[in-house]
Amino acid sequence: MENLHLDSTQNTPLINCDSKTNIITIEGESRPENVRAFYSSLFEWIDNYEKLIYYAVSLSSNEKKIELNFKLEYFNSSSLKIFMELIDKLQKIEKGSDKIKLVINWHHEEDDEDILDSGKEFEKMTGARMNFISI
Amino acid sequence: MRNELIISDFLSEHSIINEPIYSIELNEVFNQHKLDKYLHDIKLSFSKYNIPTPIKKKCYGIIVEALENGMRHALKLEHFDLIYHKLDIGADLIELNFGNYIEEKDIPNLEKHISLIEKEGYDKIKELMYSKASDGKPLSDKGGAGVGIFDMAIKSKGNIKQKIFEINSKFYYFTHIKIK
Repeated sequence: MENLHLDSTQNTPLINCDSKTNIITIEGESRPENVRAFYSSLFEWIDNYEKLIYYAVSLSSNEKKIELNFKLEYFNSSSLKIFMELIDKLQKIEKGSDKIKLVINWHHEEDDEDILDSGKEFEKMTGARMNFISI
Repeated sequence: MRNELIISDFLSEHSIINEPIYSIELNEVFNQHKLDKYLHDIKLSFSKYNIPTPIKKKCYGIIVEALENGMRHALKLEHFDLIYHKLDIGADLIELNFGNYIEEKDIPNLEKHISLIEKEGYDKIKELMYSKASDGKPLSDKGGAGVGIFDMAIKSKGNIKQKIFEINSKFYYFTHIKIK
């Protein structure tokens, strides 16, 4: 399976999805002109990755950890909705196997109270386990 | 121009910065390219002043949400599609103003949101925003999540005044925000 890499632009974040390391990273500023269209490639990649990771855990007794890293400077409210969907999608994958664990790392600048606060709200609303990492 | 008078009246009623150290005022049609350029310029302007990062980020977030809302919902009619924006940086306060004509059909929903913001406290607005963002419904046809106005209220910690004016049978939506 091919990895997904999108470079950042002024209004879109870097996206990096690696099926070997099971790490998904979204980094930068997220306010695409068309949020749904921009994130469609990420959701398509996850659809394919879902099949791969279930196949991988069926062949092994080892646990697989999916790591989702948010390293956001700013995101608009449309992106907020997409991130909720993204977390929900990955949580469903996690629930599909006892051997899959989802880890969400929410990076924030030390003095960026809004980004930190948003992360806490994501944690509350989704019930996901999240690590808050000050950078 | 009638709308300029109304803007000026609304501003003089709410604005308390008399001598801004930096000020910019625009009234033009925005598109994504223009928004990107303006936001780039705003980042440069903010970097010239000794404004704490959280304040700069709040202002930036509010400007994005307000101008994106304007781009989505401004009346698509020549001469009525302009988006008004004024940013004033004062000694210990930043004021942000936005205005645009809106479609009459958008008014009931907008009034509902304005009323909620006026009535409810910070925590309730935050709860509403995240509940709506996670309701599983798709983004609107215009690409919005329908929570931008709540995000602006949260970032301003409730220091937001909104009003819909009727001007010659058309409707003008104005927002004034203070960030301390």
